[in-house]
Amino acid sequence: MYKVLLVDDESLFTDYLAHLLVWEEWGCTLCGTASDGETAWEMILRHRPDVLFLDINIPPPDGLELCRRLREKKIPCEVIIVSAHSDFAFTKKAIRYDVVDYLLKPFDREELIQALTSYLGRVADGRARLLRRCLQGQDTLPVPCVMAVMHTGEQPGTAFLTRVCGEFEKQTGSCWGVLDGRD
Amino acid sequence: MRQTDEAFLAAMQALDISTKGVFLDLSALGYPATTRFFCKELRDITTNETVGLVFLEVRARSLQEYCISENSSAVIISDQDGRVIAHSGSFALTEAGFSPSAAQGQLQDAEGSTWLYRSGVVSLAGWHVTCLLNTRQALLPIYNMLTLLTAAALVILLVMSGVAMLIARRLARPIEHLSRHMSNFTGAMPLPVEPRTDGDEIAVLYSSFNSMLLQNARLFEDYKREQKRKQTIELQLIQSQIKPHFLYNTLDTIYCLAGMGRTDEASRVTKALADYYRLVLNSGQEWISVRQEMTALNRYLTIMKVRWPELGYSLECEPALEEVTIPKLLLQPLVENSIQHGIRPLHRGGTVRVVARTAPEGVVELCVMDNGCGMTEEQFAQALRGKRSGRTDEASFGLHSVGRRLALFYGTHSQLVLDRQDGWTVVKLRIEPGEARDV
Repeated sequence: MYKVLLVDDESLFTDYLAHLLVWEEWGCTLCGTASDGETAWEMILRHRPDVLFLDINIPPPDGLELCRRLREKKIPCEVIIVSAHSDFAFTKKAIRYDVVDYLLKPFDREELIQALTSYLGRVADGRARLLRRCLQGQDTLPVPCVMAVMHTGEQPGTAFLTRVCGEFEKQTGSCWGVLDGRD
Repeated sequence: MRQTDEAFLAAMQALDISTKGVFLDLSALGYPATTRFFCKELRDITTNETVGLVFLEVRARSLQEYCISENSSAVIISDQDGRVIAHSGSFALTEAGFSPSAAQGQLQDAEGSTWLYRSGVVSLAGWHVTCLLNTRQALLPIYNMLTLLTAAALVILLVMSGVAMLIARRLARPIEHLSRHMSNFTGAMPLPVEPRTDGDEIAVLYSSFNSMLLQNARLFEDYKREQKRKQTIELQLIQSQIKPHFLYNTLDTIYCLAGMGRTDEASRVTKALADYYRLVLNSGQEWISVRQEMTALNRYLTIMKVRWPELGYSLECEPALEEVTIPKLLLQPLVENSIQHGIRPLHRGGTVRVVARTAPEGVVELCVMDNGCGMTEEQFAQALRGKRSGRTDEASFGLHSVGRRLALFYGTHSQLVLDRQDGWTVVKLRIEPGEARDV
């Protein structure tokens, strides 16, 4: 499961975002919502979300500052800026901080799904890369973590391991997925 | 004696030659008529006896030498029969001789010239001596003088009129030039005329004209600048209200509400948005009643409260002030400031209060207050000057625009001040509605 954090100072909008999808159907879990920068940063550190839906214009520290901190601390997190029209200039600045994409308000369900799936793919790729490096002894895995390696890539096995991962996530608060053995 | 004949002697004896002497005409004896003989008895003093006769021949012609001889006058000596004995001057004699009819008078000579004459008789000789004066000739100097005077007068007149014309042209030409210069610019502002170096009144006129132009141009510039400033503020104001910022956000809100199936709220926000724009645009009218402004603020805050439910607000207006007119959107930017810079950064909710009340001396006090994060005097002054302090350009525009519009509409009869009361940040706007200028 991928952890998703929603940050926007308009509760209406976080409500809307939460309401727009049945996140679990997309392999995601909402680990929370924040309406100001300080709360958001605490939640990032606590939950280590995989995907962050971030509004730039929030009570300080603002979205740009959060992006900067993420990069500084090398926290692996895909940031999708959710921007109102008037904040677009700042959104462009945020691109410097490895922000992967932005969604312009108001967006509908399809736009959200497209962005999400595209970046979930990147999350999976990132994990695979890290895993490979670990296997080659070039890196160490964050602890605690759950890892499963599937050699055949057959569907039933993948589904099983995914369920196992889910169980571990509930217990440890950390998140890992299933790596296709062919990688 | 040249002749001593008998006849002569007989004549002599017939004469009564007294001791006084007598003039004799001896033409009958062959002597020329122009000669007279003066005859006198010569007596011995002691015996008183006649010892002889003295003849003295007098030639009239020699008298001529004593006569004046000028063009304008003449002397004629003539005898009783009108025969001219001697004459001098330019008097043209006729064949008939000359015999004046009276002692004095006027006559014409053979050439037709008019002469004045005076005549007398030399009694002894019996000659008429006539003095004549040619009137034309005599008056000639006067005529000459007259002619000269007339000529002189004419010359002087000519010279004077020439001088007058010169002066007139000298005066008129620059003025004419100036007026032509002025009439060249009917639609546009006239250009300055080239100044004159001579220090007369015309030069003063020119330089006055130029300085008037300069003054005019300066005023015109001021006016244009003022107009432009006004237009800019108007434009900014309208843009700040219709700009995508607020509209998009509200549409976004409506979209989210609808997406979540909260249709009641969605329709409420839609209605508030429509109401807000109707009031704000106000059919292009600049002035709006306080009541209308308050209603617009109510709609605005309704929308804001949907976006930030923790936002509280209250609007209070004294009933007496409801119909007072103010420039529209005077308060909205201040309310927006309160929310964006006062309440939002705090992230714990807050309240905006708008109060319209009367102050002493007919001053209307409009207060926008919030219990947000507050504002320092320095920040206030900066915002008022239009310095961009915050990140969002639109918001910092608010206070500056309100200040400028106040100055534009009320001049010195308005005030925009910052105040603090028990944790409330109060922006006070004092105006004297009676002193409003319709710009």
